[in-house]
Amino acid sequence: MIKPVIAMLFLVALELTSYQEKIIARQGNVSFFSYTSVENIKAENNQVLSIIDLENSKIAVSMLMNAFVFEKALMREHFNESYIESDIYPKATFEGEIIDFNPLQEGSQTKMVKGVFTMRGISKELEIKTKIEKLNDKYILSGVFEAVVNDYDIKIPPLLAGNIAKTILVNFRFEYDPYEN
Amino acid sequence: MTKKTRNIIYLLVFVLVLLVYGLYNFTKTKDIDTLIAEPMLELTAEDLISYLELHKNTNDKQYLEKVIAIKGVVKEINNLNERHTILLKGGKDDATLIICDMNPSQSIEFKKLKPGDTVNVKGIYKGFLKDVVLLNCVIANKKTND
Repeated sequence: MIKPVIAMLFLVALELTSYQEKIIARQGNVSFFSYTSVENIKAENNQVLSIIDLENSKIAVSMLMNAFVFEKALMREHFNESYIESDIYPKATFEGEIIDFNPLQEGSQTKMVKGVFTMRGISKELEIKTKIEKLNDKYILSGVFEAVVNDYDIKIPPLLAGNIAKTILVNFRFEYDPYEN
Repeated sequence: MTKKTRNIIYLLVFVLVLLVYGLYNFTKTKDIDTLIAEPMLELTAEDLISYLELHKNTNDKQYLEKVIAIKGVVKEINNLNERHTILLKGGKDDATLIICDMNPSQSIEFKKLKPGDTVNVKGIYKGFLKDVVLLNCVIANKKTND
């Protein structure tokens, strides 16, 4: 009688410890698109850092604003020097929680990620629908959301107002591995 | 209008166009060509990370957006996000790495690399999160473990 109970307890313990406490994405991808009739602007950052604590479903994201790659060098210059002022505000961050996240569930699940996004020193609450895929130790989070330019006090000269959309489409994709440190 | 006056006007317009074109090219923002750029700093991956960790609270920006050359041991190579990327070992227990996003011209050199190789990489220093980020990297030369 005792043996099956011990075996069951062992299996439960194994299941509970079958995931790492924290997972890390060192090369997360964040890209944004601005569509206007004048021009389309696209940029991407492939070195976005993100860490998830699987115990409490907390997620943190941090990115260097000057690491966004643009099609044209002039676009990059305007973005960093005039709009984002990346020398003053070098990073954008997101801190939040994945709501009702089950880290043990293999396959795909769609959850809301709720948290605070900070850019140019301005923090805004965001709620982002996120697809979470799990295969063994690997997790992939992906999704898309819209950011309103005015929310972050980004000053666009009237002459260039027609070139930049009022709402920017942001895509993200993070591949997480166990965080061993 | 005499023929001479017309020719002078044509010449002036031509010179003006030439001047505007020259000025545009002179002031146009260009990407740094890491293939030919001389590095501002040359050091090992360990030394770079030690330096950055020591100065992380001092807002030290002297190497930001500058070309630096790093010698380090390859921890991992990958093609995540359809980018050729080399991760160099650096910090204590590999807690901090150097992420080198490769210039597309480095495709052949990149494919020859394997974990454990020692490489000299040159790239534009973008900053330091948990890891050091270098973009537009090129391999200066490579020393394998073979």
